[in-house]
Amino acid sequence: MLRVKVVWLVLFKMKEVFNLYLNNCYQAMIHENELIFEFNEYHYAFTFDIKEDFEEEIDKDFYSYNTLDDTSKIERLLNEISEFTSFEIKGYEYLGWREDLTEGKSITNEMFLLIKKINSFRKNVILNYYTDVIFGDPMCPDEGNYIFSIEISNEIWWNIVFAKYLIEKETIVVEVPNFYTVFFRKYNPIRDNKTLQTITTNTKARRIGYFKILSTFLIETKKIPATSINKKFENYSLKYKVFLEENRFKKGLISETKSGISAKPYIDLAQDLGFLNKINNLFYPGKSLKVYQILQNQYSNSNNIFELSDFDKLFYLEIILKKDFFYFKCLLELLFIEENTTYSDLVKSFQNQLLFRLESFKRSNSYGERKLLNNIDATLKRIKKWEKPEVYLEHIIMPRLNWMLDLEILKETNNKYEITNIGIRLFQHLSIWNDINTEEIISPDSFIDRFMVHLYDDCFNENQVINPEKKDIILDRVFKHIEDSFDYFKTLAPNRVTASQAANYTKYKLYIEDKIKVGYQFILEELSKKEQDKFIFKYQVQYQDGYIQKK
Amino acid sequence: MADINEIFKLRTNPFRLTPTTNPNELEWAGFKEIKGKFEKRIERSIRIPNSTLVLNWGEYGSGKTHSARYFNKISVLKKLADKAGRPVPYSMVISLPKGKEPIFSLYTSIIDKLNIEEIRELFSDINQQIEEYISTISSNIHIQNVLKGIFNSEINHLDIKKYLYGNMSATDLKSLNKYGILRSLKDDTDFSSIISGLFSSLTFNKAKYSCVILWIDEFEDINLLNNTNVEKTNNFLREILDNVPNNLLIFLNLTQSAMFSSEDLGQYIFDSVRSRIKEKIVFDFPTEEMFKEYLRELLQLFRIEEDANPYFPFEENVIDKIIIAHGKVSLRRFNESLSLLLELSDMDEKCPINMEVYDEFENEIIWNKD
Repeated sequence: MLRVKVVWLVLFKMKEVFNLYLNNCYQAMIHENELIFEFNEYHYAFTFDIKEDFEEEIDKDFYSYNTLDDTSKIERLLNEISEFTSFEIKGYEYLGWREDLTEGKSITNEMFLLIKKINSFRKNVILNYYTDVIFGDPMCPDEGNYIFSIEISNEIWWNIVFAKYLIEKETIVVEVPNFYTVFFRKYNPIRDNKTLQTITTNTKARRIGYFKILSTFLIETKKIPATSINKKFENYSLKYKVFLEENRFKKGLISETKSGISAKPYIDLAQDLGFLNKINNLFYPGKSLKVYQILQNQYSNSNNIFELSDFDKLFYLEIILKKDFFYFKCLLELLFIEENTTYSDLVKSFQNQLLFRLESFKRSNSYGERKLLNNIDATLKRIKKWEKPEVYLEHIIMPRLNWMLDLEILKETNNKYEITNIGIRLFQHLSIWNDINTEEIISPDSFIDRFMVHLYDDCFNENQVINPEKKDIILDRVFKHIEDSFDYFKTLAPNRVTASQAANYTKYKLYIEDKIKVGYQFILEELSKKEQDKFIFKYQVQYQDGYIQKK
Repeated sequence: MADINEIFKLRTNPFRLTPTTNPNELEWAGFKEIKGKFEKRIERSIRIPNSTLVLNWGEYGSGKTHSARYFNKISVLKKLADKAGRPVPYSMVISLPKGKEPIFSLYTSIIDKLNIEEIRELFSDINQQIEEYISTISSNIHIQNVLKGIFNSEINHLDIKKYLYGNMSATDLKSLNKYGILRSLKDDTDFSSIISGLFSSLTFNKAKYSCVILWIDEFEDINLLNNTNVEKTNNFLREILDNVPNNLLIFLNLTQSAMFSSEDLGQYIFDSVRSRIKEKIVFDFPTEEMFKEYLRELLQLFRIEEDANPYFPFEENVIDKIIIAHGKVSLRRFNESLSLLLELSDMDEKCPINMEVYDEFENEIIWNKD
């Protein structure tokens, strides 16, 4: 008796939800094993299984593009099926329209906004989410649809409050900055090397400011034996301790020890980030840090060394994105979805988040290079094997949370972490990168080389910098800075600078001093042009770098 | 196929892609400035008792190895020596060893090239002085005795060579005991001491050899060595420069290459060596005029029959076109294009090589490797 009542109740709720969807959608249909409600932005798709009794003599017409006009067809459907098996919300972009669009459409951002919306109704009801490209009938080939899909747990399928919440009209459109438009229009994916890069971190390496100190330390010492760097850097850093104690963030302090162990996490991390280069047991400043050293005095002044200037944020964010994209972005994604969360909540969900992301890479690259798949498998295996995840995760989450605080991507109040508008915008940019390629980016180097300055200006400076209209003015400044770089980046060879150093120097100078935003890639492309007659530029792909000579 | 001699009036295809090892085929065309720099540097070492380290920089295919081999030619060196009125330098070209024991490899390469019989004969009239000199160049009596052994005709030249290679058995070694050679050579210090002593002796008073010229090619590979071997190689260079204060000229050939983590090879070359660098010679990309001059001279060197057109079998506008199409590239790239164009024209029996021929083959001879 009770069972009958329950079934009746479920059926009642089900019909209530379907009626709501049917009355609000612009079109609904049954096709194959799907019941689809089409709203302007999204499709709600329920899949179902047919009862065994009906399978033999099924009315094929009923299950082929059968448009629903009223509830009668739903009644019949409910009669014929045994159960609903899934509920997904899908968003579409027809790729055939890309070549004519005037601004990009960001499927990934739409997906995340919807996830966020669902998550704020109730947590843990999203089973899966992904983006994909699907093609229509192979008999009439089309350009394909780029879609997102969010799979919802059955615990709230027939919840009418949820259903109402879901269909509430909200304009959730993420503006795609116009510098991306041309890449959408070309629909020519930007190169992704597909190498999953992660760096090992220690929970103590929390303050980005220590790299600023390391930079001045290396200006003074130039090179330093591997055996004594920890202790010497520790001693050097002690005078800055007072600034950090005054600062809001007290963790990650370097204090005095006998062996220099307190500075070691920072030295190890500096090596992984390429700030230090070890040759023959001596440490030298790495290629990128040398550029920073030249500009540090001018653009990184603050009363408190742990406060980051615009230049600092641009420089360090770029390096972190390049070297630590996977962990950093996974954490940012969680923070974006959760909005306001605690460290212990992050610890609970982060391992699964990493596994989920890796599985998704694996799925979307299942026909990809063996090397990448091995790389993903090895990382998956490693993460699954964590015996005490909370211990491991502290070393992963804590430093990154603190870098995000330093970079103002996050703010923290009473042990609650909240993503800032800067952080939200940053996450949106990274999502747009996926949309340009219509797949998830694994190594973002080529994107960073093109968009870093634009991204920075948009996230941190409200997109205020407007380039001069005339390209000649920009090029004049580009060549002027390249010319100047010969004074700063001398190499053993006469009349020769390393391309990455000269071009990065130029990029920063242009943005901070001249208020011109151009990508690193733009500078290299301009140098490669035959019409350019000031410099000889040679690029070696295998080293992802080259050199420049004055003609 | 046409006959390259008859139709093109050339001995053979002059555009080699890698330098020849046969000294008779080594020619120098154009690039007078670079040639002048080397000549001046070598001449100075021939005249002045001073040891020098020179870095040669250039792109792959810009002519560094060619220069090394060209200036290693006895006839070329003799001309410079005659000009200075001094004996010919003792010259050799070796590649930077990449193996486990770079110093032993360097040492072996030098011993490989050492013709003991010839040296003994050459030095026969000043044997006494050499022996006295050797006694002054090192405080290591063992090393002194080995060096004396090299010049001493009483010891079979093959025996001493065997000893130098470290291939002598303990029993055989006994035969050298009476010359004061009581143990084998064993470590890098021994090897660099022998080399230093040998170089000093060979150039004693500039009597028989005016100087020693050592070209180390492919020096950029130092970044492939492990830490210990980077250090050993640096120390070796420092030691021989320190211990051969006179009459040693070392050229290091370095290719301009980008690197992953550092901006150049600077960090692989220790200050102790870097401070001894006297000059850097750069192999820049040729300008249009440099290239055309090179081409005229090169064709002239290979010509068997005169022609009014200095670029024959090419027409000048074809050369101009190739230069524009390539932009700034290394000499090897130009050579590759011209070599192909010549071979293709030969196959199709096309002569002279004019714009029509060029247009036909353009896609095959101009391509962008980057």
